Amino acid sequence: MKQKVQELPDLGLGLGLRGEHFNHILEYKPAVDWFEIISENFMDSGGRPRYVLDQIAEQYPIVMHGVSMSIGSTDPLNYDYLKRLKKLADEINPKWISDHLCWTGVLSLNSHDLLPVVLNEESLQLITTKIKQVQDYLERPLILENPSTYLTFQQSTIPEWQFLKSMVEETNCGLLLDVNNVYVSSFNNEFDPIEYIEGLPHENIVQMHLAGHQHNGDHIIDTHDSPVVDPVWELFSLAWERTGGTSTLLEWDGNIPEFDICHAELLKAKNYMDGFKKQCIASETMQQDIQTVSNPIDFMVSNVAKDFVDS
Amino acid sequence: MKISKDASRKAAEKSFSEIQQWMQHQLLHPQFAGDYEAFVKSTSKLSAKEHMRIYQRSYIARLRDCMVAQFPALSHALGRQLFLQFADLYLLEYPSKSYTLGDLGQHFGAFLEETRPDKDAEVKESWPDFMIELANFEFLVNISFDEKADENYQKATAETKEEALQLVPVFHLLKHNFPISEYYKEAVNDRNPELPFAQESYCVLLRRDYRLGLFEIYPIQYHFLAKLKETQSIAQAKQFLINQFKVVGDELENHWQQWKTKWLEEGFFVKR
Repeated sequence: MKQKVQELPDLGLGLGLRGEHFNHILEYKPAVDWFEIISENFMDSGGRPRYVLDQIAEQYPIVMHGVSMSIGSTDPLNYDYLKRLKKLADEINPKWISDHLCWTGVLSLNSHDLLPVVLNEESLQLITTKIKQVQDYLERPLILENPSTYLTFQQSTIPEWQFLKSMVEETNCGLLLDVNNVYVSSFNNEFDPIEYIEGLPHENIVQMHLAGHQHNGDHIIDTHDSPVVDPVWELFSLAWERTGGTSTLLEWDGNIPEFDICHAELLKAKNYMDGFKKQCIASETMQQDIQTVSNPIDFMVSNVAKDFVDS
Repeated sequence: MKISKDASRKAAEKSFSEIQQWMQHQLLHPQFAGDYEAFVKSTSKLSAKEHMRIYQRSYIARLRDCMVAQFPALSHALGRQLFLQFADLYLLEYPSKSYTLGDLGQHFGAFLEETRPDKDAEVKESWPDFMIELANFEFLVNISFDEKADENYQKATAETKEEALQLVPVFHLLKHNFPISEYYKEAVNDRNPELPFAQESYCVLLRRDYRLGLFEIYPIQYHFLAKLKETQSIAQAKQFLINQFKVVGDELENHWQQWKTKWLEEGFFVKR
């Protein structure tokens, strides 16, 4: 592996690239530092998504963020998938490639969800072996994100932050710290989010994610469909201080508003870069009590029916 | 909630692989009660079952959303509730094996054919035929939107010589037993179309400048374009109509000039 995680650049403040914003970006060339794409949306694209991406990649730094590597699955790695991933990377030259510490299915099936891994010595050994295989194949470090989780397995014996730390020590992979996911998972699984962030290997955190969620009273769903809440901004402030600042990106995937609204939400991050001031994270009240879906599909499925020319 | 020492020991013995197969089974078959406590920890707010239920709910809701996004006209035709019932059964029969949600509906048309209610009846009803045609058409629309093709072409104009006219790379010529194209356009534009009667129809689904276009055509135009697609020769396509349909040469030339003008505007042709 030629490149080291510690050599990856700080890209500044970026946004997730979504189809709803294609025209705005091409027309106005907004002052965003970088864009993150969902790798699977472009790996096989020979149509407009890829055409637009090629234009945007000429003007902005791009990072590839995947949802289907399934590094935490007990199934073997899918080398057909990795081959397509690498081909896209060769073509658009992303600053790095990331995915999630999760599994999406076993026995060759795909749930299309980011499922939680059991956190113990057995899974650590299997996952670190697979990370090394991926890094060797891609010839670059793999960056892995902490997912939002809604359960803890009885068989888990290692806290997630410790698991990530061990994973990094064994493979020198990078971490994508999703601050909102830490908050969501800590509420759902009853752990201390500050202890989590304090315990991470900060020097390997390459990127951070911010997003909104939905609080349903007894659990929180990671919906990416609303502004970032104050407790998450507070955690971001802590993570910013501990990492010394790193590439930060806002995800907005459901009920996607106009580009300028997303951009304004991203720029709020500047207000939280001057140090962590609190010793605990404020609690949040319930917002809604409706059934929602984590990881909405809006950003993974093109709205083809609305893309016809008049005919 | 506390679990007994024996249950705790049994839980600890579950391998990584067993845990994942158990969870996946719970997602795909939520109707079967699982031994939740053996795998999932309860918290002060939710039981093990309630924690698992969040994933079960999201799994089917996400894939249902995707099916509706891939088959909006069929969803309208069947009505949302019935469509979702079909979608649920389809997802059980054909769970996704692809890394992309783009492939999710690829077997839906075949599934509807396999499970049509009059499958074994001698006299078939017509509405399942319509639903199957519509499903296959809608999946083709999804494929066409993003299929790989050489888009580095020069647009043909009225001045382009006939020998240099070539069909645009993404060009699907379709014949249906129902007015599929018309129904599709009405449904996705929220014009609430009625279920149609059987009626042969012909259309062109094409992509130009990375945008899809859908155009109804006449049967004679379908045969002309089919021959043109096969031979890439307008002269041969004209000759085919003269030979097969006994069209008079002068009459055909008049029609062709009108077709050419319209099809150039609609982006059927690029310059060879």
